[in-house]
Amino acid sequence: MLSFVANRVLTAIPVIVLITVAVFSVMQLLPGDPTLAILGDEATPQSRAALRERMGLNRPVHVQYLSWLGGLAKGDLGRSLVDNTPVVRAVSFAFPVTLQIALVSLFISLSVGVPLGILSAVRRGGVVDALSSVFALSAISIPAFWAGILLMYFVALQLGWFPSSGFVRFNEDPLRSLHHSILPAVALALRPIGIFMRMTRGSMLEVINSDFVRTARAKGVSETSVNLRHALRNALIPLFTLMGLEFSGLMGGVVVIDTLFAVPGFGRLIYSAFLRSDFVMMQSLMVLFSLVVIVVNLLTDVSYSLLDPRIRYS
Amino acid sequence: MTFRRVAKQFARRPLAMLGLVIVVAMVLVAIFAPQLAPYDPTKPDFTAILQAPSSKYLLGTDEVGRDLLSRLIYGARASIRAGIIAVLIAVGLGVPTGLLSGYVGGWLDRLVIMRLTDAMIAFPTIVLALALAAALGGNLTTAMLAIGIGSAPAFIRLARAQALSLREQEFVEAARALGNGANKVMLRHVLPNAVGPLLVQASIAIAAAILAETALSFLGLGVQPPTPSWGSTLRIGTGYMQQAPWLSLYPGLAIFATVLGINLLGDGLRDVLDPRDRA
Repeated sequence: MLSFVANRVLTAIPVIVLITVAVFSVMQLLPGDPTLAILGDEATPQSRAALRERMGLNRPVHVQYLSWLGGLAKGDLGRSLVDNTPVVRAVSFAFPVTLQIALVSLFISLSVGVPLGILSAVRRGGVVDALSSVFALSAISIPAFWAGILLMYFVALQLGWFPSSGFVRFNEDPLRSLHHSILPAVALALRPIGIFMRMTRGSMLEVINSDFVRTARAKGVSETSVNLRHALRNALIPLFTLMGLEFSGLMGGVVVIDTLFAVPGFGRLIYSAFLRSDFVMMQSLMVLFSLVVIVVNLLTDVSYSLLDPRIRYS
Repeated sequence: MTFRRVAKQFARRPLAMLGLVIVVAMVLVAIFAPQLAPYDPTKPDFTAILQAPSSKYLLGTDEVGRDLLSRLIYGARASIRAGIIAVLIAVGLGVPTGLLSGYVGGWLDRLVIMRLTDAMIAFPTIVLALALAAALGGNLTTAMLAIGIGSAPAFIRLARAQALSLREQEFVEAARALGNGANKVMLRHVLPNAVGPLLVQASIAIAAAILAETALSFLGLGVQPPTPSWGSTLRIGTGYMQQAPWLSLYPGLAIFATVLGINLLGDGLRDVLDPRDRA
């Protein structure tokens, strides 16, 4: 077990290094001079040269990269080019918001997708199966931001059940905070609902027809117990890898949904950094975005191997 | 499986046929946009600003008085083209890399290509698009490039898996034993047998690419005004949600219908071409 975890962590390290190289290289392509972005067009050549020196932009590229990487490793994400505040501070404000929305979203997608998948598999070929299959495919096909727009228009503006924009922090008022995170979370949950439903249905069908389930049924175990205790437990395992994969899409979706609902999360942070050409902020955020995805995938892989010992030996 | 049999099995699935009809209709709309659109999609008409849907303007008008229906008809062009080009980029990057990785194996496969793929997967497409837009400018070309790169890992993994399993098959071994080089074996024997699953993946990827393009255009990173596009119309629509809800409704419906059509088609293709997933 320990060697499996160690192995997974070790393979993640070159991936993270690759990502930092890729991010750094892309940001080197950036047109224009960052000192112009900071000081404005009227800056004198002397003040710009002084700023270049202070920011270390005169050093060779590989030295700049290594010093940035060294900073990242120590948790120093640099300072915003726009207001000179530490990037870490902005991240520490935005991260809990995104984490909360992601968790609410995950909760919704699992608690809708998995039961629907079970129901479809158990009632295969029936009306419920047909309806939930169409629902799942629709959930995958709907653009998350348009789902967000519809929710905002109908549920927030017309019915007034939820706030249409903005956010309240969890530590300020937990209930209002959850209230604010529901609509963005639902918009983000639609695709995973569809994916989880189809996956659960597929693997349930496979498991239902396997020998051990037939044995359980033959020895007189009740239908509900067969489905839930024997079939579901095994059918859920593939769901774990999928959850990790879906997380990358979720982190991308956050950019659009944060913007739409004016949520001060990770997505809005990187989008506003982009709009203000704050390339130091962008560079560090891009690494953080992929780091979050890598860590989540690592955690799902490890928990997956805890649930299913077969994985560790293959 | 012959084309005839595939077509016959496909035609027996009503949902798959519905998908085919939607896709064909959307492609025709994109091609014949100039003939179908009742108005010029880019010409402002300041006497008809934010008109509600009526018999004159079937879906209403936008904030500078352009006919929404005409803009949606032309918008099909940007999205469908972006979907196809992005997937062509993904296939061009992913399939040769995956085949090579699976067929050759060894350190190239495990240490280089698979780690690169992991890194690409960890990078959300929209974030990649932001980076490329910052470096190269935000327009449809950089958006398609970002979506293409973002969709490549799925093709790398699929082509690799196909190459891994086909490599051990007798007919491939026979081809190798006859003295054919790796390139020829891959192109003539491995690739043709992997076409089915790749085609299924391509259809799903086009649907996802259209969703990504509209999301990027919604953020202002894709299609630039005044070119009509579904995503950028929604971006404007959110500013007039109360006065002109039709601007927020119909463009999304167009995206949803198109993507649903492609996904229905893709599901049908999967059922017919890819026996593994026939649950």
